[in-house]
Amino acid sequence: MEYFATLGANIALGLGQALSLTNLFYCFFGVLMGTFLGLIPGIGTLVAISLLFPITFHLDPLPALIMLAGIFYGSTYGGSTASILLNLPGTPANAVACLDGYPMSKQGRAGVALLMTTVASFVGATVGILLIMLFAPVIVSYALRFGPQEYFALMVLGLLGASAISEGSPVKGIAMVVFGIILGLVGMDVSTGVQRFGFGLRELFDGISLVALAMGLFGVAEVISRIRTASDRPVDPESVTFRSMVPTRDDVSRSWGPFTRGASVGSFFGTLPGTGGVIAAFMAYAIEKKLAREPSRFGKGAVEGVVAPETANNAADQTAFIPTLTLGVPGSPAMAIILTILIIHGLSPGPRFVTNQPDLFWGLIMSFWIGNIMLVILNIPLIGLWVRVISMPYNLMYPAILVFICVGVYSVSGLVTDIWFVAAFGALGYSLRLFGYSPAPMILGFVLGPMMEEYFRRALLISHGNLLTFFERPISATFMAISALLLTWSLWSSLRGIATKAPAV
Amino acid sequence: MPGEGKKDVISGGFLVLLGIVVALYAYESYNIGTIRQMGPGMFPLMLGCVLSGLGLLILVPGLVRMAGPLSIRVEVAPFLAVMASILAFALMAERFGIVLSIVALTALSSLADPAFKTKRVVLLAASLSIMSVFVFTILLNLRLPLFNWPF
Repeated sequence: MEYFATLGANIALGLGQALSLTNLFYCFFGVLMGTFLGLIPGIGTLVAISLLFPITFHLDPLPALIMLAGIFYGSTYGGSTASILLNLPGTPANAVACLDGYPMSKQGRAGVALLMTTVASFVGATVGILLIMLFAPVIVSYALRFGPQEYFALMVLGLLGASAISEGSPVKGIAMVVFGIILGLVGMDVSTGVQRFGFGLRELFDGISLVALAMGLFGVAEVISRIRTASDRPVDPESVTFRSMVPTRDDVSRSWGPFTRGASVGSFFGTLPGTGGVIAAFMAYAIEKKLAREPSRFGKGAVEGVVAPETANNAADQTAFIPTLTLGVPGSPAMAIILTILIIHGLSPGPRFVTNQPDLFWGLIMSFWIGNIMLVILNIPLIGLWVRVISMPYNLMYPAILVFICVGVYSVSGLVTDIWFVAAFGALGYSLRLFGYSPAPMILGFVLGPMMEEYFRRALLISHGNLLTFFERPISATFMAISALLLTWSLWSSLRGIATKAPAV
Repeated sequence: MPGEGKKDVISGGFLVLLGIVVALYAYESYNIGTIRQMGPGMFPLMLGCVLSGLGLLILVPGLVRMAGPLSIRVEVAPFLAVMASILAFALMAERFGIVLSIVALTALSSLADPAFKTKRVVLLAASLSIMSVFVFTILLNLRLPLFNWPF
């Protein structure tokens, strides 16, 4: 009973924070920007967060967190609109929604699809938020017993998970992670005070700028790839009226199952570090198709085919905050950037964050409710606006993206060298794509690298140089065991993928 | 897919080299320490070795699949245009202020647009400058060099 009393008090505390005018404004701005940027194919969640990250430098921690979080979960709301209307996902997590969403719009049922995905997203988000509220304090109490071994092992697990699901072979994903960690080590080594890999450049004293890295690797590289391909495909979405959004009774009755199953799948994958909305959406769709009485309906406009993945990815978006906030281990590159805000403001993420800054933690959680309600309003009545946005040609958009990247990066540090870095990382990011590597795991490695080294060092210091310490403690041993399984799977599937392709000439 | 192997050999080889360079540099330049009391060079050394190992894991299987021509679809014009535009911005930002830098950025990056129309680019550059000034200087209250003329 005392648990609920505490929960009630925390909710009140959180609402008090979240309902302030400033926080409401930034919540709205965040979800609005998230929807807008998520809508545009070619700007994913990560680019959206990177683009607006510079703004957060000048804000207090709570509005900054609220805003970026709003962009994060808002982007998948908007992304589904592009999937349905254009057959082009707005964000990777919305890719699955194209499979049945686009056929629905071809059948004149775009309105219904859009409404159902918004409802699905809200349901998924609600479940996710409830899970955070109920379980975060429990997880925190366990996590307070974590030692450096557990943190290190968990980070290894998260990184291997992220590389396993990234595009391209898992081994390449792991290589990207390691590359990212090395880049993350550039700059001052906190424990020893030594400047590493700086080559004497004053600008590298604090390390490579995360903003420059993310914007270059993702934003610039994406623009380069898209300029010509986007112009080949003129945009002409089916028009959507408000009335056309009303679903049939059949649609609604078919959706209950997908809501439940999607929310469960999504919450599970969201909580695991390394996996998130993309995997959740795919799994939810696969499960739905497997369990359906008429699987042949899928791919031709089955409402379950849009509802399940969209519920899943929004549930995953919310529960992704659980490991990030309670353990301080971000599960995805976007979360890593959000976590960086805490670090910049001098707040160290982890279980102590929840207990020492309850106003920030609960304020953020309550803002999730507010944000999702705002998103429902934005996505249903205002759908006409977004249809018009989607029709905007890419050749107007990409210079705007580049301008925002350059001015944004410059505004953070005031150093022109950061812009050089954006160019360099843009070239790197583009080359990586050409050779079949995905840059996403690199960012995760970059953010986690210094922390991993810290925990590794400390673990070995405490255990007097005993490398087996990671395996002797039960929790960390579990993480390491799962990591080992993931690693084996990654190597095996990479080599097997090659074996099946080898004979082809 | 033909030529995949060649790509992997190149990229894998690059990673092997990178890993070796990182490991050697760390070994030469920084104190390695012991496993119990790790110096600043220990972690980079380990990572360099791991990276090289991964590079080998990518390179070697690639050698098996060397059949076929090396085909990489490089978008040369977009790449050059975007790079040129960002570099122009970097060179101009402090000397000329961001307004002119934005104009250069817009103009140069638009060169890659197959449907390039001068009037539209001019309008776009103008509106982006105004928007950026509004958002970054007025809304966010940042002090960025707006307009300089060094001559």
